[in-house]
Amino acid sequence: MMTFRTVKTALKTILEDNAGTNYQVVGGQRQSKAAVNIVDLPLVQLFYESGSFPKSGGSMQTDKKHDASFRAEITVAKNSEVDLSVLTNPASTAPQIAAALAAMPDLSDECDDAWDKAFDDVYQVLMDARNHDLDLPNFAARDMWIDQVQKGQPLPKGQSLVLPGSIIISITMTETVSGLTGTLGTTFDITTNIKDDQPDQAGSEGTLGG
Amino acid sequence: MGNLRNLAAADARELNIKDYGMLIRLTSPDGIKYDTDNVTGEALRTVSTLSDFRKFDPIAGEDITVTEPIVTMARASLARIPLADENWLLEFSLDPDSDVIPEDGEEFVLSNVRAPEGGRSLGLIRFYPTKAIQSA
Repeated sequence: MMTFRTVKTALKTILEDNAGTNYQVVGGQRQSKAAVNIVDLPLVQLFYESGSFPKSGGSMQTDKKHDASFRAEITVAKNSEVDLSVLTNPASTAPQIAAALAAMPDLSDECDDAWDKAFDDVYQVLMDARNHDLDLPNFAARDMWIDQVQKGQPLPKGQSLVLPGSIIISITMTETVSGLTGTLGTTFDITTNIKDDQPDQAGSEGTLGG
Repeated sequence: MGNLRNLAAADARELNIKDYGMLIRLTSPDGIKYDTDNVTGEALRTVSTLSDFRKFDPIAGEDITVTEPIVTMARASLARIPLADENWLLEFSLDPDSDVIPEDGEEFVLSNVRAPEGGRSLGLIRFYPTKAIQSA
C-alpha cells in the first residue's frame, strides 16, 4: 500500500481525535452534503488531492519521493439566532418583539466567524508540533505544512447560510513499490561462509529456487 | 390597452391568485404583526410558497442540499413592504395541506443577509427567509 494512503488515515485520525465538539471529520469527498447536517458542527472533508513524484527523488530500483497535497474542505452553515421565546409568545408586547428582532445578529457575520473558528481549530491541530509526524513510525510523513487557505463565497439563498472553504496540506513521504500482486519471482538463496571457509573453498554457493 | 406586463398584472389581480396561497403572518421590525390582507381585509396569504434546494459549492464543486423557502407576496396585500436592511419575522406552514399557521411551527426571518427581490414586476415581491433558531 502506498504511504499516502496511510498518511491520509493518520491525518483523519489526528483530526478526529482532537475534534471534540468543534467539528466533524469525513475521510473523503461526499457526493453531496446537506446544510441541515452541518448547522450544528462544521464539516471537514479530508482527501488526497494531488501529488508529484520528482524524478530526481527516486529511481525504478529505489524508493520514490512523493510530494503529496491533501485538501480539507471546511464547510459551515448557520441559521439566524433570535430570541424565539419572545417572538412566539402571544403575551409579548410590540416593544419587546421589536427589541428581539433588533438584537438579531447579522447572519453573514456569524457564519464568517464560524468558518474562521473552524479553520483555526483545524490549523491548531495539524500544525501542533506534537503532531508533526502524525504518530507514524520512521518519519513516514515529513515536512507537513498548510500551504494555502481559501475561503469561498456564502451560498446566496437558502434557509441556512452556507460558507465553504478549503485548506491545502502538503506532506512529503517515501513510496516503496512492492508490485501490484505482491508475489515473488525466482529468488536466490545464498549462503556465504567467510570465517569457516578453507582458503580453497572461499566464495558463495547459490541455489536456484522459489 | 397598455403593455403585456399591464395585462399580466391585471390578469393576476382578476384571478386573485393569492386566494390560493397559504396563510402567513409577518412581524415588522417595530413589533407589529400583519396577518390581514391590506386590500380585502381577509386573512393574509402568500401568492406562492416554494421550497427548493440543491446548491453548487464553488470550492469543492459538489452539491450542497439547502432547503430554500421562497415566499412570493402581492405587494398590494402588504400594509408595509419589508426593506432590505430590516429584520422581519415570517410565520407560515410548511405543510401545503395545512390552512393554519401552526403555533409551534418553524419560524423564519428576513435579515439583511438576503434582500427581498421582485421589484414591481407584476406587483409581486419575493422573500428568501432564513430559518430562525433560539439564541443562546
